Amino acid sequence: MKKWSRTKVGEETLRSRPSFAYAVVFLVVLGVTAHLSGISEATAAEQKKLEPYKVAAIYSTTGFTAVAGSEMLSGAQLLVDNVNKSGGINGHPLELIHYDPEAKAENVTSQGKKAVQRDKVLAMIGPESITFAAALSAVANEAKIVMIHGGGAYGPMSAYEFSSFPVIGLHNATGLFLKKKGISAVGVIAQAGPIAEEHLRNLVPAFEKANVKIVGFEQVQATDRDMTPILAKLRAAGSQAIYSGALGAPGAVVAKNFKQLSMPGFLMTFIGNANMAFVDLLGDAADVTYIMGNKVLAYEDLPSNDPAKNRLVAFAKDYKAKFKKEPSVTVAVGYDALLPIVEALKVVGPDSNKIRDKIETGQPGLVGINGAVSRSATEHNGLAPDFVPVMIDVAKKRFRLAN
Amino acid sequence: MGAIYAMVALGFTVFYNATGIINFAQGEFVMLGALVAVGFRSNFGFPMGLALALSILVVTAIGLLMYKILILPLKSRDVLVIILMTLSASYMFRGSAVVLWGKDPLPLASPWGSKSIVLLGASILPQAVWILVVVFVGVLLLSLFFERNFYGKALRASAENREAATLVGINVEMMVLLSFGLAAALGAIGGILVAPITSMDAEAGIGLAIKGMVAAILGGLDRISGAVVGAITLGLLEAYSAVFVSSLIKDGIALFILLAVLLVRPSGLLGKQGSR
Repeated sequence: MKKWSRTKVGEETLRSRPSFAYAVVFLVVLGVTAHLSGISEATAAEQKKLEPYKVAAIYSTTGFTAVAGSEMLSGAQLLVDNVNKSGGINGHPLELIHYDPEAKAENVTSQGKKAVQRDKVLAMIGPESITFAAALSAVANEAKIVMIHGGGAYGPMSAYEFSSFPVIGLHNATGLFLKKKGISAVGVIAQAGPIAEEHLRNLVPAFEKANVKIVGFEQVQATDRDMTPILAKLRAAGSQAIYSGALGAPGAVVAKNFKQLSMPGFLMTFIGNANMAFVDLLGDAADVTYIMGNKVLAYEDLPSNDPAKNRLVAFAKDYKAKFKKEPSVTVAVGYDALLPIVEALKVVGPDSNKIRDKIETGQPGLVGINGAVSRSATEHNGLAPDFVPVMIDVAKKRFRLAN
Repeated sequence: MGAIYAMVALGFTVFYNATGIINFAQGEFVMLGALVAVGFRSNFGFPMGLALALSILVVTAIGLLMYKILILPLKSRDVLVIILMTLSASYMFRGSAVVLWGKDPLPLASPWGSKSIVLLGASILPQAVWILVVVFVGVLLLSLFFERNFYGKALRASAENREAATLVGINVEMMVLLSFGLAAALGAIGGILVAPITSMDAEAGIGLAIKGMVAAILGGLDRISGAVVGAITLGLLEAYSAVFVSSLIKDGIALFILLAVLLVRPSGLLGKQGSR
């Protein structure tokens, strides 16, 4: 018994030595980092004469909405660069603080609170999807700080919630395009959740108005990877073309299955899929797919008398110089989310409530990248975009205007 | 879709036959098989054949390492402990894959093109035909292996009773190592075959694993052919429920079937009643 306990004590002392050494190393590291960060803060304070205006960018750069989130963030960063290069906002540098909620609603809430309470931001842009917009709007309304998200919503919203996504008139444009293509019966596939609800509310009446009959409305899940039974069902119901409101991977499966089944007509999808990540997933189903996009996608193909041409070419040049890739609709959404905040800050200064009022009623006709914006108390999106149908140029990996 | 589930279910069945446990990391082997191939293909620009072969080798090696590092040092040989270890390994693989490849779905081009063949009025992808061929050849070879081959019998013996197997001179550790390698290789082949149809992301493994497990249990875990029967039944049931009820209820149906099978016929459709 005695012998046992003695060896145990011996082990304890042996073990305690390295842990002491670790503690010393840890303290030294801690001290050095504290010292270094102190230095950097001091120099930063000397350089900045005026306090920066802080805006939160709550965009998921990981998770299933990461493509949209990263692109919107990059669009906003381009505007930050432009503003700071030209001397900031009335001399104040613009600081965009990025928070990554990882495509989870609960993180949107916690990151939003962090931005408001800890970092004391003046306004927020994001999140990238309508799915998470409600989570942030609760934070925004409680803190009375404006937020401009990138979800496809329009009409009246809660007091501090706005959107910069081009969606007003989207379904009308799609319906008219289908009619023009000679389609009078279409099968609709929609992703269950907010997209399907929105489609039932807005797409169905818009298609009816264009005299395009909906022969079937099927909902699919984000995890579905086999759409052939649904497509076969819609074909049996007499579809001449398929409209797909499924986003990303399931949307690509719809297109691939459409091609595999040699379905009649073509596959029509919406602006949410107008990005190169989606094109990569499409594979060779790209040639049966039309996307109702906007002029940002096919800026090169626009006639030179198009009023948007110069604006879009300049934007694309700036964006390509900074990020080495083509801009997209979502990039422009990020830019357009920050733009009204910057314009409001110029006029009313760092007052959250005045910023909100200015954005709601004080910026009629503000021209962003996706189009001109006129917001009001009953219209918190207000963007009047020019929708154009695009197809995919597989060889050049870009979008082109469809006929 | 049934053929895809069959690929995953085969891995479960093989592993169960060799060790008597369910490997929760099986879905992750499928995911890794596809993503490693994507990595070799797009990041290093390897030709398709080489990328696929390397991917199978790499994932098999991961399976072997998983056994050497995670399972072998375990003091306890309790089945429950090993199952928990495979579960934690699956989380680890998923996390690493998220770090390496991100969470976005990645495409893998099919080596046989995606132009469908029209057969008796139904259009079929060449990829799906290949999956079926691989599944049936796999079932045939694995059945022969487990029923006729010395090592296959040794594998089953070690699963049945470790002590007795050791006593008759079977190297049980070696057999278990073999089954880890076999399951990982099967998973990787499955992933490579499935990815061109569905695309693959770091978090898709778990969903496939659940479907594969349901299929394996439905068909009977102790029969290799049970995996295929179970998977095709599940695939058909899903397709019909999508058409006649709603696509939203598909996944629920898989789990409902699992519950029903466990209640009514726990040994599965082809399983030996009361053999265990």
